[in-house]
Amino acid sequence: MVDPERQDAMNLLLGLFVPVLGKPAIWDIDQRYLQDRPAVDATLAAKASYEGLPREAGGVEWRVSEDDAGSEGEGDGTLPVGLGGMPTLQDGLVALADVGVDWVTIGAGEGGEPAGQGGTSPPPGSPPRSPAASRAGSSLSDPGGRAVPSPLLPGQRPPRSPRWRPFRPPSLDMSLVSGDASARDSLAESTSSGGSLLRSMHSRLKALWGRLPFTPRPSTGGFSFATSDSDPGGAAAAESPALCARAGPGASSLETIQSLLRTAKAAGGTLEARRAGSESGAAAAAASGFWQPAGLGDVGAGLGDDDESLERKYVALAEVLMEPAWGEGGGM
Amino acid sequence: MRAWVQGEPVYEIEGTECVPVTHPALQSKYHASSFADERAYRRMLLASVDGAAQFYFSYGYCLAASLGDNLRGVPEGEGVYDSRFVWNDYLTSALREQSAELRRWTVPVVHGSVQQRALSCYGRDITVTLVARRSRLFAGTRFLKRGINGDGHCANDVEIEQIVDTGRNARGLPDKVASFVQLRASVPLFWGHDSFMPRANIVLQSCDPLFVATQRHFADLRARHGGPVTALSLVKQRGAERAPRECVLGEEYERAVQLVNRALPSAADRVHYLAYDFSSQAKALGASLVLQDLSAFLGGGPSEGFLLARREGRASSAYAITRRQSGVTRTNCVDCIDRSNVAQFVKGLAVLGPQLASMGVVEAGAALGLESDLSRALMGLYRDMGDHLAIQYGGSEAHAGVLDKHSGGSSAAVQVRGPRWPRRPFPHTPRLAPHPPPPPPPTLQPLPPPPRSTCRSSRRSSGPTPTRWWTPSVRTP
Repeated sequence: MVDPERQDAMNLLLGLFVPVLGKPAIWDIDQRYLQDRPAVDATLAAKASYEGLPREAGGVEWRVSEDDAGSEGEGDGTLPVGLGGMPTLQDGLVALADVGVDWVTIGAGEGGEPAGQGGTSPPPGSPPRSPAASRAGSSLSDPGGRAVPSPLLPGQRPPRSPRWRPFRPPSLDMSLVSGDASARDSLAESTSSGGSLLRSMHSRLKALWGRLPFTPRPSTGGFSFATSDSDPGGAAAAESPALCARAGPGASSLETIQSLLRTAKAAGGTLEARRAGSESGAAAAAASGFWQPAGLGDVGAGLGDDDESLERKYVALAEVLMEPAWGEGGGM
Repeated sequence: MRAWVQGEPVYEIEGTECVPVTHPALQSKYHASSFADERAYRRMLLASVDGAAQFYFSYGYCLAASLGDNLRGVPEGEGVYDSRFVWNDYLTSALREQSAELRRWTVPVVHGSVQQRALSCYGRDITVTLVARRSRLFAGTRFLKRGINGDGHCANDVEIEQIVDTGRNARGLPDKVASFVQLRASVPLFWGHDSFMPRANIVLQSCDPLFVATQRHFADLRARHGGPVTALSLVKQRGAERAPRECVLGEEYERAVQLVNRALPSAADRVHYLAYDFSSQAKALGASLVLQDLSAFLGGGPSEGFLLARREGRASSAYAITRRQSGVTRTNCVDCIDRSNVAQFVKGLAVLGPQLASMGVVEAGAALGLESDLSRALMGLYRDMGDHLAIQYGGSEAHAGVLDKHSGGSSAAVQVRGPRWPRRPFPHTPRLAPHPPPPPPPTLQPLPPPPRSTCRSSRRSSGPTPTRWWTPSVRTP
């Protein structure tokens, strides 16, 4: 076969492939990925719109409606098409962090595996304290001194059918996630199955508030919506309010967790101050240390919502972002 | 040196060399054996531009632009590198961005073919030059790059310019010069093959039902060359094949052009679609008659004219353009190698007569017969150019028996002539990359998402829409 090598050389010459130390070399990459990206994107975008997929999921256009877009004075609702034309979970979670969600527990989905399957099970009664949690622990533990569960839920199952592994940058600081070597490996394995592909767009969130495609579920106990049918993480997660992603098993990526941890760490300093001055239920939930709507002024202020409806909207937003059905229609 | 164009020498890259400019003390650091990948990359890079691949450059004449643009004055400096025909845009970008001083060390390089032959016609010396420029925008080899991409750039997109000049002075500047531009490019649809075998089935992708990419392609052609745009398709038509293969492509292409035309305000601007089943006609008529038949067929299509320029005064080096070309013919077959080359020769020959007549070399109205010496010389030029383009895109020389039979004389002469170029430049090169990664089997890694700028969706409300794809300000030719 000589054509692929010629194509490789041509891609190199034209700068379509730029070798980076530590990233896969050109001879390790499928030729078709280096095909012209706009072609692939256009193909996928057109396919999504043509074959009846929801256009939001396909990433073609995100137009709330004509009158709504006009009243908000925003431009065209074109979503950038991501890799493969589909949104990723990471994008969704990053957007979530942008609007002020600081702490998200990524949990296994339905089924509620008993804790201890993944090898990371903490001894019952003593929630694990990962180094990350203990580092941020001064601000992330609630006033009662109750330890915050590790962001890794212990009940994470190994992937059922790992079809691809997420790209892992070489400089990944795994110690941030967990200091335990076995837990680290288990996490890497359990988060490697990829899973649902989600996408949100921060600039569209305002438009999203009012037109959620479902009725927001009334939240219970702060901001948690660990539902009855999904009991991720077993007892530890159930008794402490945690925002559990209703994603498929292992539907998370390592970078997601990492970025969330980073956000949580960065926000850790401000948590105390906010807790001191807070009276509302939202702040109380923030005081529980799991997540906190830090971006109230950003998103919520313009809407003039009271705390309760704002809370509901946050939960609804989280659900939208976490909704696995959005991405899984496209498949990988 | 391959040719003289407008008094400027045109050079071909014969070899490449990597000259380190780092300090010798640092060289050992950067050339350490740990950079095995870099060595492989460097070798790959140099092999892609070595003497077997046809890369051309000129210091005084801008090969990336047509003759008309050269006479009008091509954009100086950075603008040249924006051209789709300049292949070292990326390689030199780091150097050029540093300063304008460093830009002097770069020269735009064009990929394709440059052929030139000096001829004598009724006692007048004429020079026929063929410049083929390959577009870099959807560049690749035959089975890996097919059809069109979302931006409307086609695979195997080559602009071919036929320059005829006469009366060169001591500096090589001709008195009169004429040029004619035509294109070849893959069928502007999303299509491919279902396997890598020869004669694999053609698979049409239905991902662009409104032919937005096709519209972009034709809008781009109109903007660059003006109207009328002619789409000449040489694929087999229904009935010519036992199992429909190529004809599906041709029919879809025709549908696409119809849909593109439907959006146009006036019929005068429409894209002319011409379909000629070259294979069947060649089988039915024979090699000699099919050229005449094709010539007559093309004569019925729209005419683009050609560019004609005269030098102002004996000592002057300025040119006055007296005629312009408006419109372009875009030829395709399945591979755009063999049949397209023949059709482009026929088109070029049909223009060569008027070109010579307008320069006063032959009488007006004199038709160049296919058996004339001039025709054979032109045939040889197109054949050599076709071989180059075929090697670049398909990996092997063109096997256009039609041109060989006409231009080569007896078959013995063809054999004596021997290979003009290394037959297969790439098959003999050893494996460029180091061998695949060791035992742990390579995990399938999704790549980081592409930069946002390239992932715009195909339909934006600001851009051209399916019903308004043409640009109102079409460049006046």
